[in-house]
Amino acid sequence: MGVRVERDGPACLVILDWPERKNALGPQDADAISQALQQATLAPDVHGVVLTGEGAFCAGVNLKDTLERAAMSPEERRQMVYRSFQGLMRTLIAVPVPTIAAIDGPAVGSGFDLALACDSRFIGPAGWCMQGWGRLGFVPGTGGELLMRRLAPNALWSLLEAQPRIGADLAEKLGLGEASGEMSARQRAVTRVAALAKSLSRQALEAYVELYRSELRTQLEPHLEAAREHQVHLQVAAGLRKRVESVLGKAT
Amino acid sequence: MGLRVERHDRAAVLVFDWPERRNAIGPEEALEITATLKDIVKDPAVCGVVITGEGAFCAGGNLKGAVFKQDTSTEERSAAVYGAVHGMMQAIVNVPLPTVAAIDGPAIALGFDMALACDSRFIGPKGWCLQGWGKLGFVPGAAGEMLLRFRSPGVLWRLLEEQPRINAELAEKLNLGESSGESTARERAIARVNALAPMSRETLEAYVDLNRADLRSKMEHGLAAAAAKQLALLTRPGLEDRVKAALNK
Repeated sequence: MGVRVERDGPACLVILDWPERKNALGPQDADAISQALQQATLAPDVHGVVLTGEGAFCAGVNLKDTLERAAMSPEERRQMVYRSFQGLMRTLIAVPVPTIAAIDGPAVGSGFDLALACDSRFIGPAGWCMQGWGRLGFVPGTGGELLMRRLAPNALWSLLEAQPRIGADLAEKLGLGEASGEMSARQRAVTRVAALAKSLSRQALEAYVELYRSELRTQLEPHLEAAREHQVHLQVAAGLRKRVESVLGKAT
Repeated sequence: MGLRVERHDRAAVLVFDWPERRNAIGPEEALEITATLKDIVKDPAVCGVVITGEGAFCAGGNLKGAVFKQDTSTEERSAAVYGAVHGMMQAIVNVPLPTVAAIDGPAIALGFDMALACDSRFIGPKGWCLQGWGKLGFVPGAAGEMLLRFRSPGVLWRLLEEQPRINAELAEKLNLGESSGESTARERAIARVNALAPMSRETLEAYVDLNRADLRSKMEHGLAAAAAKQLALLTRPGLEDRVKAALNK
């Protein structure tokens, strides 16, 4: 349990495996995933990183932790968001080879943001995404607004209005991801890395990544800073505990 | 008649109602819209702004000033023609709350640009958009090219080639707007604002701030560049007759 790193041909898989909480993340978990992502590309024959979960993809930030942190000062909160949760996004976007999210279960809130930060997203028969943040009265603290806008400029307001479960079909319609058909998203993602590795060297793939993500990399930090300020402000504002408890109540 | 504001629960609805000119907007109307937009969001209960028209959404801009004031300097003409309309476009983009265009009739040229400046666009059974500027040999003078590119990066050249009437179905296909189904766009837009309202005004303002930061940082330059290009085209000999012909239609 925890985060696992596995090889499958030219693909390196980073697998979230905290089944008891559907891969909802606390700050230490985010740090552990960051480390795993950094290790994943050390071997020179790795041509792509597949980010996935055992069961759930990632149910977001662990809300029970959030309640325990209710007394945190705004400055401590800002530091934690910056270092752990936003740190994970920075690491993911800095991975030098193509990144693929393989979604075979729920990807909610920060989990959705993690998927949006990958270069591709496959959604399997049991996979779905949800923006989630808006239901708590929050903005995405991990870059989700920017990341989604880059992929689907007009999707935000309809997702906030209805908070739909985004299965493979809806993801394709909105331009947010690709269906993996009948196979699991994980298998499909490994297939993509293998196909890329057939015709492109690691050096060539790194060049594509650098071109593809250079604009995102320059936009990321100012956006994360703005998101962090809004998020801390909204969390400190009255009603955090009530909102989180009401969502936890619905979930159980 | 004129400009009307309605409240529907948490939605403020700005209704253009100049039927005799199909809601075509000149400098005076633009100033009125700007002032009203700034005013309606002062009520803390308002959680979103719907922009719509009675009948037509907006049949375009009023270009008379640009064509017929040939004796004034470029700067003077630019300020007279574009000042008020650019102020209105900025006012739309600077509304601190979600903005929804509800299109239940034609939205042409400047009308299309105004709809593109909103966060969402609903198109009703009777609504349609037309880029329009290209038909007259012009570029949009109020950043319509940039706004179109923000909403749907690949669509410009197809619209210029075909100048199609963009109804609900085509708008969805081109990623330019959402169909309101069988209800009017206005009803659908009001429903969206009221569905967003429980998120709280503060949260909605934060989303708007994040979502529009990039657009806002590019508006001033986009407006100035568009006006310079359009003015250069407008003052070329020969185009005057074309504009007159278009205005008389």
